[in-house]
Amino acid sequence: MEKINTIRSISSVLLAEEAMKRGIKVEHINPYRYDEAFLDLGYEGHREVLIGQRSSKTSLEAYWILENKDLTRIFLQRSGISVAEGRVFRKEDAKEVPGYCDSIEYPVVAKKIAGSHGDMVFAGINNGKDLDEALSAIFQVNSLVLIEKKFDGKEFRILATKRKVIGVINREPANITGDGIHKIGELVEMKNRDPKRGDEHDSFLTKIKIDEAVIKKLSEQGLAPDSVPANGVKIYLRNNSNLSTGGDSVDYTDIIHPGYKKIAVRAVRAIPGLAYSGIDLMSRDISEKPAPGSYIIIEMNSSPGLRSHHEPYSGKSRNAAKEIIDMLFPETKK
Amino acid sequence: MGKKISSIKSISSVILAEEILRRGITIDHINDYQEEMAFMELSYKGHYEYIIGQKSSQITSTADYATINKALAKSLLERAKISVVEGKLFNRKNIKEVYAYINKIGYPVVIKMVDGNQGRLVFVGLKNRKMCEKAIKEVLADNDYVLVEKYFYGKEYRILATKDKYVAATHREPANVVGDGIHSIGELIEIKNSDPRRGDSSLDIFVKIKIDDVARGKIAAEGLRLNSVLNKGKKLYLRSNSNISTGGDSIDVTDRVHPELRKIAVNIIRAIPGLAYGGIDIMTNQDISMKPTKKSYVVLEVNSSPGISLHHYPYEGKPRNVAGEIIDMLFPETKNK
Repeated sequence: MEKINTIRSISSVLLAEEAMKRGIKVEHINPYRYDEAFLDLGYEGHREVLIGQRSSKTSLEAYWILENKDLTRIFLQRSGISVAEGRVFRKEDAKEVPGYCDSIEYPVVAKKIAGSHGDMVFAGINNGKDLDEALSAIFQVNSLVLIEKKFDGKEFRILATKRKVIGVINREPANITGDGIHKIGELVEMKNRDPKRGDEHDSFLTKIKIDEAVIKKLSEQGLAPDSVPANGVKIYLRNNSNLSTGGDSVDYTDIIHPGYKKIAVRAVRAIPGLAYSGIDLMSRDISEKPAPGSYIIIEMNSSPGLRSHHEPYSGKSRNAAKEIIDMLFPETKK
Repeated sequence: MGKKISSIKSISSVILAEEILRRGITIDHINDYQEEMAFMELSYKGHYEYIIGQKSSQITSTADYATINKALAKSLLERAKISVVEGKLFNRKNIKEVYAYINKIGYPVVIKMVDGNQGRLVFVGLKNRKMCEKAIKEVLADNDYVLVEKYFYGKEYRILATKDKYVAATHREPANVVGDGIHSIGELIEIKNSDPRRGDSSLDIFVKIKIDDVARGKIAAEGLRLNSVLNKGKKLYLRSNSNISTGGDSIDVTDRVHPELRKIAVNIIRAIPGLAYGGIDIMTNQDISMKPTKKSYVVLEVNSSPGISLHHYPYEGKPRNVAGEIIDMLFPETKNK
């Protein structure tokens, strides 16, 4: 178990521990780096590599396609998978964007093509004024923007391989549920006391921070941190459902309609050279048979976080690390 | 020609595309709104491959990461017993320890950023603390890490190899002019720049030499001025780095490289798991035709998207068809076309 204590990301730790359990030798090559761990795995002359949760089973082109939200759309559409209605615009064609938004109808979403984790995603653009603000922010640092029609539904993270679905998680934005006694601020504090919640990526769930975005979200609902919500009333504190900003994860693996499992597997196969992926999917009702228009895939991640599958806030735990190591070293599969 | 081929904006991509089309392989520039990072889908009788720059679907995403990250590439090379430059990675927090380290390895040193290539933020031959401070400040302006390395005296080469085969080598010389006893340095630069192969765009084979602060500094360091007449046969370097993109020259030495070094080149590619081919920047302190020892060479970096124009159109020497080798790997069924 040498060097393992240098790995800082929980998902990498889960993978390294699963590998070592099987007698696979794990070497952490870049312990000086505090972001993505580069792990060299060896088993009887068979060598594989992990960077974060991305592996040597992921081709270069798969990585590039997933890093580019528009290329992802193109490849998914080729396989008949629904994506949001949308288009890429270059900065020099910015004048055409308002007309396009009118034609697909507001609300729309504007985002940059590269990147993930919700950076530079403007989710609720309701009019020309919102659009101007979003475009000027995006064009300040990017020469391209992706405009998509906003889809109404619940967001899910599906971890899938070319053969099966490993786990499905619904991520809820940071929230608290009232008890008729405590203030919102106190309820947040109580929720944060859960030992599962830590700071940022070093734990399964993240503490909720009451910041400007939370205050704004509360005031939109006519609330403030010192309001006392009624017993059983759930209050959302943010718009985004990232776990890194205090969201909750709920396991849905056994709840989703089998049709969604097929879509997820097809989505992984739609990207050349992709072995597994974390798929962000929105659905009107994931327990119903999917139909075009009832769901969209938003983006796919080549280095999916595993912590939410291993230890969801509620629901059954899924051993994602085991499934990934099975793919890398099938000869060690038990 | 393929329908979207005019959207390719680099000379090496053009060379690659020509080789692809010549074999009857179809090219589709999928993200044609993007000139940089062109994503090309190649297809031949139902067989698909992809090219991004000179990177291809022959390499894994993790190999690409390892070559982009200089410190990581170095760790992998060291493990495969390949000689690399002595050096150490520092971050913002321990940056104060840099000078103790430099005192240990001795000046001159090289300071560079960790991620990246093409001579971006690489400071070569720093002789004193003041020069280092300036370089570190520039690197830290938009990077969290600084790589400090001992300067290795020698000549720089670019070797292109696959995981099975040594392909080509060129010596890269920093931008330079050779005196004729008649013309001033400024005039010699102008004459050299009038070569039709030299231009200012990424579609040109060679790049015009710029008379900037770096060039002026090199001229002054020789006790010369821009209007000094250079002695006949005297070669004056106008930069320290030998990148083609800053006016350097390429001289083909493929046939001169010692067989042992050719083997090392193949082992270098194999040292990066999942890498199929790459451009290896190597320095040697002895003639390239001599048998290498552990101390006679160092690998500076391995590039997963190697420029190939320098092999196809060397400034001096024999052209080598590197594009052919790359496409052979992607589409072996078109090998003899």
